[in-house]
Amino acid sequence: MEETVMNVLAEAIGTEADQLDADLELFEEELLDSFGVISLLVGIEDALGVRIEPTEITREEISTPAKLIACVQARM
Amino acid sequence: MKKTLAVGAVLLVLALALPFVALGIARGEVPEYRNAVGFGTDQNKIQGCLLTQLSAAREDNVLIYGSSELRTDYISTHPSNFFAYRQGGFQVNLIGRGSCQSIIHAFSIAANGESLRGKKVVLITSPQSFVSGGITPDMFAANFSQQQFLRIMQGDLPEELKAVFAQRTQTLLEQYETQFGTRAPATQAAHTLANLYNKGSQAAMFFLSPYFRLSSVLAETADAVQASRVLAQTAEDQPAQVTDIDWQQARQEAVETAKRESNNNDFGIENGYYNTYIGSRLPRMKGKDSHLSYSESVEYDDLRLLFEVCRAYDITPLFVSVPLHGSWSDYCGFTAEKRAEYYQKVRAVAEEYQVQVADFTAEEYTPYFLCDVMHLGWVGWLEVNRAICDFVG
Amino acid sequence: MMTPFDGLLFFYILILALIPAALLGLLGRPVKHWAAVVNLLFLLLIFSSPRALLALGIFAAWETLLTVLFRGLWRTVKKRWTLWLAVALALVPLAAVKLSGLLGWGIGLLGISYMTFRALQVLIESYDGLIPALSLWEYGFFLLFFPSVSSGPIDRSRRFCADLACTRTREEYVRLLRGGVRRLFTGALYNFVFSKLIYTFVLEKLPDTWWGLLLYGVGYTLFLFFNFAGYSAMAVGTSHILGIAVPDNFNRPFLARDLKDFWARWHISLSTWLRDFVYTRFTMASLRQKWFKSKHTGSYLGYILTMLTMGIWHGFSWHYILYGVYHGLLMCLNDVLDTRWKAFKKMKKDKRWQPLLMALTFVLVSVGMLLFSGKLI
Repeated sequence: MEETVMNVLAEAIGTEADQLDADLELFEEELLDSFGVISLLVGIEDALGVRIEPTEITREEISTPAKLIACVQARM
Repeated sequence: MKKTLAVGAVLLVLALALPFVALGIARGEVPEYRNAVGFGTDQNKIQGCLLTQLSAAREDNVLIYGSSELRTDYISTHPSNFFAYRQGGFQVNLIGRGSCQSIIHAFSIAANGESLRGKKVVLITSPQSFVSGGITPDMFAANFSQQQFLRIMQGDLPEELKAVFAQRTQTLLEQYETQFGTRAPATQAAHTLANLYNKGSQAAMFFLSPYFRLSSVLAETADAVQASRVLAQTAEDQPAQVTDIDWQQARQEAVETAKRESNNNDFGIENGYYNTYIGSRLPRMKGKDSHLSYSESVEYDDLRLLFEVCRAYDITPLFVSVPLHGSWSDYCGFTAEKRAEYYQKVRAVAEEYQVQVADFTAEEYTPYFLCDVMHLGWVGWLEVNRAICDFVG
Repeated sequence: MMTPFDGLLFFYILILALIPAALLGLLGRPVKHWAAVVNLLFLLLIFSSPRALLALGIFAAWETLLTVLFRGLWRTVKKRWTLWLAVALALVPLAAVKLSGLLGWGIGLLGISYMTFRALQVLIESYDGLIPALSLWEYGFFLLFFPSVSSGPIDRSRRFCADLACTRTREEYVRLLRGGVRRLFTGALYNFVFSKLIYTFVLEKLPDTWWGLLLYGVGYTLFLFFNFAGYSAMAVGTSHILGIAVPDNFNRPFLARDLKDFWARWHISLSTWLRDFVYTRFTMASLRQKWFKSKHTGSYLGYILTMLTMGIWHGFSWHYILYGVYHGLLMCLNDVLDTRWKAFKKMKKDKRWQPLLMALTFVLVSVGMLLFSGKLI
């Protein structure tokens, strides 16, 4: 599961999964923007069948890859 | 944390104290009064208090409250020409402009009641004010003074008169809001106070009293600033030039001038006025006033209020009753009976209050008594001047 | 008739009303009951004419009824069309008022644009199942919270209700109070001093020439900022003192390095609302259902749609529509630069380039404000 999330995230950002540190600040470093979040959420839904509504989560809740994984895990 | 709150509190106190400090400075720096203010037409003379107060403090100032006739200073006998250089032995102070009806004068006099106590004032009325609705809400708002209203309500006028002021203020400001969809500028404190007073909401008035005080201080400060500005723009006092007035000769001269200045029409109307307002439209104006009536009007009650205020402060008014233009009114269809009815009604109100009337209503057909269709003219002003001289003594 | 955050009378009553709130908070007691009393009082003062009160009553009743019905039914008939229907019905009063402005019907309601957006948020998130419980009093308080009733910020119901539910300790409240007082003062300074000064000494003095118009664009942008950011700060400050931590609406917008950054700092509550409920939803749907070959096409259309909504939300008028399209196109351009020109992201982080980017963003924003002002068409 973690691997899938990381791959989806990497794709949304436009990089490789092995380049992403677990505590990377995704918004502060301007890796993710509004469109990035959308790609990410749609990607997770496609890959894992976990549907997260846009305002269900705050940016704070997915601000690092580690938090993102925790967030998805909680909904599996 | 405590520090921030303390700083906040200090700032708040300073902000609240600022208007009072400003008032002190503004008051302290008002220059000495100048007589020529009496001839000026600044709006502050109507809406303010300080200039009236300073003028009233001068023994030789005669305050004359009027409306649009005060504008006709191109007429040789207009008081600002006739009484220039204190001819007559006194300085006239002309207060008002077109749209200043009885209620506006009542405000000004009531707000300055203590300064005017025991004095003589001249009140000139225009028949045209006595249309059925009295003063219109926009004319009222244009001359209304929050400062004067707050002074009246915080002053020592009898409660029943305060109530009338509050009633009229609320009614007219509400009509203004309905008509224009917005509050008249600079009237919030007055409007709020009027509403609460009329409702008798003692508790709300108590809670808001600091707000009304603060509004007063702000208005007084603005008045002091305005008055200083007017005084700075006014010419210094000149030595008086008093000569004996030969009324007979003056009248002849007035008629001569009038003949020269009104020779393009048969109504004795000043040429410029005739060209601008009548001229080729004359045929269309025939009978235009046949539906006009001055028999019922709020203005009569406003006039009563004005007289009540004078009585409350022991002020002796000379009430100048100006006639309509006889031949012009006939032409426009405002009949002699209707005119007579108005004259009688206004006279009766004056009698109610035992007010001395300079009644010129018999002069409807006197040539050149008016200079146009409604305003005092060469002969009219001269006669009014004469009445003022007699009145002042 | 009383305009919020305007005139001595409003502030006098406001200070009297906030003192008990501050005392309650400092004693560590809940502020919300007093806040509700104050809210009712100010609603009556702001909507004091019978006409305004009637309009507010009808609007509030309409949105409340709609929300209660929708929330009651959504579990049994959870169909997409029910949401569309509810949203359309929720928009009816707003559309009526805006059309009235266009056709001169004479219906109006202060703050209806802001209140409608709050109502829509509740409907959409209810559909998403994000709002399990919402009492009538919470909903009414949220919809008609007086500090932000007329001009925002547009708060979110879950955040608002969390504030209502919690009782702050003395220390927590002190922090809130301090920020609130500071915002009230800065807001007043911005709104009554800076914006008035700019209006009197710049905007009213400019000549009717092409360079006068350019300066007007700059002056008007600064004027709008001080006027609106000042107003927002006073609204936010008041809310904080009443124990509701409404989010800030402006965050130093002239430090923005590109247009996306600008919208993250200017009228934040509106732009994030539009991001969450228009842009994200449209783009997500386009990705899920693969409407377009390139996934970016959906995003670009989303930007245009969002900014167009933003323009129209200000009023049915050509200059607002043009303003929306202008910003929609700029957002697309911004996105193209972000994805296609790798150096752009580096420049934005480079201290040497930042001043130039800020200046450029300011110029682009000023041109937009010139469109917004209606001076051009």
